[in-house]
Amino acid sequence: MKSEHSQSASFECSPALWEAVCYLAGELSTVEADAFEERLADDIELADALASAVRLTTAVAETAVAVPARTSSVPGTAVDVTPVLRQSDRRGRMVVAAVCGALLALVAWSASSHRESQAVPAEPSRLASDSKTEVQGAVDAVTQNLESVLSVWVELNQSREVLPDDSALDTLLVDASADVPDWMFAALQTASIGSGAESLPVEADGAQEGAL
Amino acid sequence: MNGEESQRLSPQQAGSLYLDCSEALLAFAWGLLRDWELAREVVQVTFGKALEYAGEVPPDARRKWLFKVARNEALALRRRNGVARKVQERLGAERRLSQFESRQSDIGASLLQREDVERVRKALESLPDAQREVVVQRIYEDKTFAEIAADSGLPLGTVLTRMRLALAKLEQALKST
Repeated sequence: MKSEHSQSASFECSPALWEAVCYLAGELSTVEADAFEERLADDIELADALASAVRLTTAVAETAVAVPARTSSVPGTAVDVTPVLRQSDRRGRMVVAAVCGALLALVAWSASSHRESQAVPAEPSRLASDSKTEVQGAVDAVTQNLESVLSVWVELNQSREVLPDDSALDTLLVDASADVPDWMFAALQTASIGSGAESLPVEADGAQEGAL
Repeated sequence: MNGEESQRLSPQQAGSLYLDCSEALLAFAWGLLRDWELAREVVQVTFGKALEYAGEVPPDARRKWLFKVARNEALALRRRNGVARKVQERLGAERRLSQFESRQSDIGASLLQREDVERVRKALESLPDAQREVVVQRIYEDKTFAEIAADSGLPLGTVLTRMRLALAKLEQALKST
């Protein structure tokens, strides 16, 4: 029996290992699986084969990160999960860019409204007051929206699902903070100056730190 | 008292037995339970019994004795914990030995050295395309052999042969230290 195993080993795996792999993979019927478990009580070769099969399939599964599943005939190379992350990045950036674009338009509109209200001194005081209130409300709205943009940004970075390991996570988050465009912070400062909210940039920084 | 003493393994014997067999026993128990916590429990109980009783067992039969105890403990634990149904589901319906389960349960750290995985990875890369494709579909994509045969338009026997050839090479890679 043993010679038969060793003879076939150079070509195919041993019958015991094959049976163990089939057992692990669920390729055996219930009756066959029960019989297999029964034989494990006295067959040390089969028991060893089961242990080997677990180690082997585990090792192969562990290499899943290194060998692209279902690609090709090309031998596997190092894993590249970045396309997935980049796709997520791209989507996130598009959302943030769209929101920021809308907000910048709002900032521009509120600033021009503010200038117009200052350029008409002959207006009755009540109207001027109303206009000032209106502008202040718009600026506040912009401020709130900018805060929400930052929170969207933070959420996008926090909701990444594909995180290969901690070091990759660190890299991604560092990259994410580096990707926050300067004009976004400039818009924040503009809004905070307009509204007199001195604390907003600090909050923005805090939000960024939270993302990190 | 003397009889009890003679049944017990000395600390050196127990340590040596543990070094020789614990890894294989853990893998073996996992094969029966598909749960690393339960598998570790089985290994602990098995070595607890070994400390108490393996002194009676001839040294060259201790390995076999350990596996037998582990097998009995695993099956008893499976019955006790009511995990038999889960195992059957995993064996039958799901048919999976998922790499994700493997990763989540942190087995790589406990069962395999990084070098082992690296050797297997290299062996996997060096397989002929046809064999590697069967391994990938079977283990990574969780397909049954019948499904692989149907999808690829190959006879089932061809698929099985390719898998066996591939396993032989991968096994050699894992054994070579």
